[in-house]
Amino acid sequence: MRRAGSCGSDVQWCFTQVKGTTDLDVSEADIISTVEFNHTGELLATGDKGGRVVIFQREQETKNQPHRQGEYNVYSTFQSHEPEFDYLKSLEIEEKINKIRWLPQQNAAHFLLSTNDKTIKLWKVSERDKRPEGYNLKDEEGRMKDLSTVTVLQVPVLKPMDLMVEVTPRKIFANAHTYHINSISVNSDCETYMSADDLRINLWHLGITDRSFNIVDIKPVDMEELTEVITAAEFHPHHCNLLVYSSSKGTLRLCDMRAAALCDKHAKLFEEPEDPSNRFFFSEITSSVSDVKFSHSGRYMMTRDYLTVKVWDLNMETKPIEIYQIHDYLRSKLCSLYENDCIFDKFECAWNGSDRLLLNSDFTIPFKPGFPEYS
Amino acid sequence: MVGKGVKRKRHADGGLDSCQNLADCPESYSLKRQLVLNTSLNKMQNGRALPELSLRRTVLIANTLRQIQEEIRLESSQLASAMTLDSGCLESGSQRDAPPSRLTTESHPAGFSDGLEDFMSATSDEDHSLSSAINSILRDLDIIVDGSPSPSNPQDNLDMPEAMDTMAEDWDKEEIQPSEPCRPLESVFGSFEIMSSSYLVGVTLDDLFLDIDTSVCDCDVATVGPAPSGRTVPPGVADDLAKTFTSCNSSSSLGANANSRTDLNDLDHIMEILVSS
Repeated sequence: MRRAGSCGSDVQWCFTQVKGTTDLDVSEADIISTVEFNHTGELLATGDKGGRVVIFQREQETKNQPHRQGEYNVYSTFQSHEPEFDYLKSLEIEEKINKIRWLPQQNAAHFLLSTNDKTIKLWKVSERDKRPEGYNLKDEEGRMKDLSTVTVLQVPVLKPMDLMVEVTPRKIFANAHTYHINSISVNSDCETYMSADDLRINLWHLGITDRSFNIVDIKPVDMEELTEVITAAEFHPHHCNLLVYSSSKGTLRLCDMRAAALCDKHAKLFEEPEDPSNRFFFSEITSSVSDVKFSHSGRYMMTRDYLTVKVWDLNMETKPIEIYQIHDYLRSKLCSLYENDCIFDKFECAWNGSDRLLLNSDFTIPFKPGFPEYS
Repeated sequence: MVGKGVKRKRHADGGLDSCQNLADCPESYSLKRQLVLNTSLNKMQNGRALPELSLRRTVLIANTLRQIQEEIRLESSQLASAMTLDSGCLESGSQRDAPPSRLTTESHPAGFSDGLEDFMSATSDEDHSLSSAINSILRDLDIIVDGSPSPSNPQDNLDMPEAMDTMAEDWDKEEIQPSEPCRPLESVFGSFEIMSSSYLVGVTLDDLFLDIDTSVCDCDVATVGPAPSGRTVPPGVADDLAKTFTSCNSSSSLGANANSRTDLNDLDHIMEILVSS
């Protein structure tokens, strides 16, 4: 989707491209499970249920058609995760990619983190469009030359070649999660990142794979008392000590890592008080937060639950400042949705670059205009 | 349940969809609650059969069940106390506070007055539906827990609060009871752990196989089976496996034929048990 106009709040939306197949009969492995732009928007990474990652690149704007924003074409495809089998529990660990996060670009190469239920991997995406020619000891095919034929020494030169995109695994962060990983988030310090599963959040250093630090643990001593799980987590975009995680009960907890090594006590708890007259059987299920995102300014958070999108001000914990009803017509059909498990679907949300628009995923056409710009 | 991303269709018939808009249905509140209760119990039981296990989903269903169970317990205790006071008051429509946690299947403000009228006018129906709800919960708890003894089904209304209390204890397990402990949720929640293989560290396989006479076992190291991936089995365990089978090879010698045949039968029997468990 792209914006047709850029003037003020008059935003028009239209479809630019459809990638993939529009057939109804799609193989299970091709189902896209996660999507993520990089920070400039030049690259778009998609992960699917088969453990593959496909990266699209926006083509450069040409002088002939300067008004076109540029279409996205396949840049690279690689197999990120393979299915694993846990022999002790006789369970298969899915290769489905749950989340992809790009690292801020620091040199010519791009780095991204991809994760399935159990293992996080750091991938380096680099281009090669030149190759050296004119070696003294090897010929063009790489075979060793007969040294008696070498009479003159030459300096190898770089000659252009067809663009080749290389994707190599740089780090594998494994065996740190007992439960299924649902979120990863790169810290603003560009050195650390966190991974969150249903009950715990771990802090990693991007360069160290053999250990991680547990910073949040909500697992009860007695599992019979388990009533709440972690559903999403994210680092603050500017303050490297702050993180937020959401729960299945619809609460947000802001934690400060400076306070203690284990952030069991939240610095702030964001929870909308429940209206006791408006409770229904599925009020907890529909309040379960499926995604939480900080605004780029760092002052607001957006959460997505089954029926609403809420915008929170970090300075006010008692209630959100904005609530958008996404599909109110479903309120009378919750029983059916509970029976066929649709009520457990998870949706994502995102801010646009200027924090003026909120985007959310849904099974209908999404669009919700945002609130006026805050300075 | 269909995998995510695949287009789903609503069921054309049956189940809760038979009355799509439950606000229009004439059933009483307790029947609606019973429907949700049954659905939740079915989900809990079928949870393990799902290809995609989700701890979040299980926790949410369990919480919904707890909510309903708590409400039933409250109502039954109120009912019991009201009945002990004066059974005639029910028919004359004496005022009683509706339980504060009245739940509906839709998210509009709960119709307390509607629920109360239904409650008042169909008290005998209410009793039967309550006891049937209890019976179904107890039966299903049995299925979940796999054979733990269930409390006897109450026939008398006055026994219901006690049965509800027992059931409440079953759900909120904090003490281990002298009889086989009933911890249905722990086994369900525990199944979501992706366990690392530290389970076998410190246990030598020789200890496990002491009672098997390996002298008649013509083992082949190649038949160990698919090698576990390097991450799940620590090297120590793999070494133990190799040692066990090499020692088995070196000491293989056939004793008397009759003895070896019975021993082989025993070995087969033991292997069957190990494989099937």
